Amino acid sequence: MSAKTIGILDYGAGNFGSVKRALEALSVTPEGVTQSHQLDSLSHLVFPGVGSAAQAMNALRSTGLDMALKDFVRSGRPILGICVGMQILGRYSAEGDTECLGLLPFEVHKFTCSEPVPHMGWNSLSWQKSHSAYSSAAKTLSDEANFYFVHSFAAFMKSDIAGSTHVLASCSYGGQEFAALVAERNVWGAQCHIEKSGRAGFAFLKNFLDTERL
Amino acid sequence: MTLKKRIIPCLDIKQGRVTKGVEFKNNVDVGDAVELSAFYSANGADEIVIYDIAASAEGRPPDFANISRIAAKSFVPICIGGGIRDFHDAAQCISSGAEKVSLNSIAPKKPELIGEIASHFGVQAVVLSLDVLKDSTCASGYRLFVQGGRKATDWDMMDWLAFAVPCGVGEICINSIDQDGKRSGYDLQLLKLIKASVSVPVIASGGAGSIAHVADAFAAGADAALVASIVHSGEVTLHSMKSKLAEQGISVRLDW
Repeated sequence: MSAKTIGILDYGAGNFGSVKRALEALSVTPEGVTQSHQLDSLSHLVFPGVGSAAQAMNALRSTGLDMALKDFVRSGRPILGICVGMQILGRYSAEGDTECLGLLPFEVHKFTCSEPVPHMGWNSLSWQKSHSAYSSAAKTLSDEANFYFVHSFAAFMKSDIAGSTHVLASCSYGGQEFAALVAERNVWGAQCHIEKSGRAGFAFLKNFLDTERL
Repeated sequence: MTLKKRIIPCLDIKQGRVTKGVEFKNNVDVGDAVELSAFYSANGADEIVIYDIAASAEGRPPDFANISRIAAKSFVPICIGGGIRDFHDAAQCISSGAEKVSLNSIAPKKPELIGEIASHFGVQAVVLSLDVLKDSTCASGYRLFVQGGRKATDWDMMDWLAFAVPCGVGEICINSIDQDGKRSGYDLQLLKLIKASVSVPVIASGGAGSIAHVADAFAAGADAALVASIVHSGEVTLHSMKSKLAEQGISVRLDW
């Protein structure tokens, strides 16, 4: 196994610091990535995000990081988007009517349930055990593990299974089921804040770091 | 898949040390803030609330360096209260590693601050904390106090909530001054009153002396319970508390 160099995309996302601290707690010294060329030396990239999808996409586009991210994905190296970082891996977000990166096939919309929004707090997941990434992603995690969520928008599940093959685990709030964890080839995403989800979050993060380039 | 009821240890801090008082007075030392927070984070806390109880009275901001030290070792959401005077202070709490800020004395003085923080960081980052005391001259039966429970305001608690919550409050933390540190139970009537009138999550605070008291708060509708004396004293662990609550059918997080 080659040495790993982990980067965190630093484009002004609010949870950059907490993602960095979580990686440091796993004895990783992550590199903050502000410019495209810094992606070249990385083995893995973590892509945080708090705030709105529109803000995040604008920040990426203005620095050319959006194209660099797509190149990174094409290179087969593992990337993990967290919260808004996960949401903008999809095609579209209704938050600010935003065209997103299109690396995964989902769209993001606002909760329409009668429960208070944001969906905030600890919730457990329903794992899709037939997903090809299940064994590596859920390693050392209990099926009942809870993760910390804070979000008003989500990638809601499609009624046809074929439209949701990227969903690794779903969660439900106010009767609306949405993607909590996604994975397709080298692209992983977590709607929950795995950097603030205690031991369960660490386990998932570590499992991501254990994945190899395609 | 149910959103869990949260148990939130509350650390009152003075010069980097955690203290605990009774009815907001006579504080005793219970440990180092960084260590205690890390301990709770690894042992079942669903969130940690840190109040710099002297900051507001001394007219200084929260201890940002201390927040950074705490955040480096605590991997559950952190909420900071006490001493936040303006947007800049709130932003610095968040950039130091907090997920949320709790506004108390400053909110009636500067209600526009609620919206400023919410529009920049989202409503989930704004916790409105209220210290209330029973007062029969108020229509709701409760009066809003500020400055660590030392100063009465002109606000009836319900009028204050009706005014402040729509400004961008994501959560309410309701502290009963009558019950604080007495360990005789949360004010359940107060909790029910608030739950009936607001749609945002409500955190019960002040008075937990037993696991049964926490269960009572959840039965009264609380979404989360702040605990201090009961866990700081070491007689009840978060694990034993949450196991007991789960036995009673209350949905809590048991994996950590």
